[in-house]
Amino acid sequence: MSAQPTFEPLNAQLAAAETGMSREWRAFWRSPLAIAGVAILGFLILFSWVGPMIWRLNPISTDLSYIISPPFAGHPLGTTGVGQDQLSQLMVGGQISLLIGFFSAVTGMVIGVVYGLISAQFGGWLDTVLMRFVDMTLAIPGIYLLLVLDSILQPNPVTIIFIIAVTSWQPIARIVRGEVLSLKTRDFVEAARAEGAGQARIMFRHYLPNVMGPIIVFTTFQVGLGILTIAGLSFLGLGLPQTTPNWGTSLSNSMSYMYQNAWWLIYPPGILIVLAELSVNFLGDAFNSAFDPRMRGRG
Amino acid sequence: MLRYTIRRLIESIPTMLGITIITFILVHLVPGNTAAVMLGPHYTPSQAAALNHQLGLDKPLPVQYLLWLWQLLHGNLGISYTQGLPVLQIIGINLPRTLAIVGISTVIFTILSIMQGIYQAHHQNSVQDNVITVLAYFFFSMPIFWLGVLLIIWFAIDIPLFPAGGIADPGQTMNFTVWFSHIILPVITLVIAQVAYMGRFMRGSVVESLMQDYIRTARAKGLSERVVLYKHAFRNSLLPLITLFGFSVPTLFAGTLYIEMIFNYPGLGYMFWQAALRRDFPIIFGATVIIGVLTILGNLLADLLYAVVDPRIRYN
Repeated sequence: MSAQPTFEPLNAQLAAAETGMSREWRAFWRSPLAIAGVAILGFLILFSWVGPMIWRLNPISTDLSYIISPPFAGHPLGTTGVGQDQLSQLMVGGQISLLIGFFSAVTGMVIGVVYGLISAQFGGWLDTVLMRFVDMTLAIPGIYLLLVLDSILQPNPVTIIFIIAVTSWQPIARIVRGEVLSLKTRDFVEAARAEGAGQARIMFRHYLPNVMGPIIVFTTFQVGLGILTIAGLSFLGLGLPQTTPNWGTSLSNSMSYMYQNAWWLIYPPGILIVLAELSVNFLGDAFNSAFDPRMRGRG
Repeated sequence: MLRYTIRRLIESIPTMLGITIITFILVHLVPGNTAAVMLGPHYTPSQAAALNHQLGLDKPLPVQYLLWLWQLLHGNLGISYTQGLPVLQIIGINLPRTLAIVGISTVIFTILSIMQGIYQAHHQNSVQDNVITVLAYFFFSMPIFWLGVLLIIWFAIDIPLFPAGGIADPGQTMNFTVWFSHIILPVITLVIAQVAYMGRFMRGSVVESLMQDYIRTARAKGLSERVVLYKHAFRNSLLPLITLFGFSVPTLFAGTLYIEMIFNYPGLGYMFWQAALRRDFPIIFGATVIIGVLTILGNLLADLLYAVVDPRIRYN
């Protein structure tokens, strides 16, 4: 790295940006949506990670004397079609569903951010080619691409994260590219360039902090999409194997008992997925109003 | 306008070619033996070789691609491996069924989202506004397949109002009434999911419009609130809805894939799902290309609608 630049106006700008950021966080924490989102997400995390420490039944082992049994003291949420304890299935299943949602969103975010930064920074024909590629992949509905990818790769948590990420990075690439194009002409970037900052430094030290807002908002929503997608794949018979409990598999298994009024199989996994979706949608909207200056002060 | 349309159509050709290349590469990455699928479990290597030769699967991939593209340009999408019928004929049967669901739903959810947006903006921050917002959040957070399952349980099993799925019950002769009764639940599912998604945007959009200067002018002129809402605010609130519609063409097809699967409705999505499970390449190809074309046309339609709704936009 070159010698530390001493450029007063730039430092002043950076300081201003920093206080601006904390003002946004304060706005975020004042929003009731944020509180509700954090509370629901906190509950789901406790349920999935602390729950199994308290309710210690093995989620995989089958109890053949209780098959599709309604809830009672020994199995508070009843048992599944093969006699597994539904409560411990859902607790352990929550770990996989939430982790897949989180990591698929973060992976997709990283791909999209790097792609968008490169496209905007280098511009010209590279930009055209890269953005045309985004158009093409967006014209194929994600689920159709998912079906094809899923039949190529053996479904396990890592490949599923990869599959969801490669079918969902495009919007963030577009957002980052658009934001960076509008930042390119700004004074502080000129100043950095005049100081001799390299391409990479400008991309990651100057552009990235300024597009963090939209990135956080979008990634938050994407966590919800990841959880939905893994559930959807299970529904289509292309999800994780039965030995890896997750909410999607629980929900799709319950389809077979639609006519038997097995409400303890049909409602709980669906409600947990809805709660997870609600929490990330609340958080996403709260981030959105906190980071969008036009929205600030309007709730 | 016509020149703009033609230019946009020509510009979309490279994108279309790209879609065919991506699909082709993906489909040929799929492990799985077409001969095993078509010939059943018992076949000799020479039978498999003969079949691969007959289908052109023994040629290099770029050659296979160009041959397929050449046929595509002549309107020939190949023969389905599993059904033995031309892909175009199969899609010709299945696509209208999907378009019927998508089309009917689109009309209903557009009207409902607009009504919801105007109602909420008009009663901004009231109890009704908050109740609708919470409901929309709830349905927006609901997986579409779970919604479909619940509707089947409630309105086909517990209260047998509608058929649980399919396109006609066994022994029933196909006619319009029979078909229509079978698409009611799928349409309701898609409508609920889409209204939950679009209504929120519509509310935001109408609220935004109501804060503009020309609304204050209209009110100052003494126009009734009705005229202000429906003539002034409404038209300008349509723009985001149109953008959203353009973007949601792939989402709609994705949604119908789940819906058709849950309701056993033999449309394009169901056909694609079956083809993906059975490695029926020609159908996977054909469906992807058709959906790609529809998506690009949807985006183009959205751009053209802009000009109709917003007099400030002129394409010349």
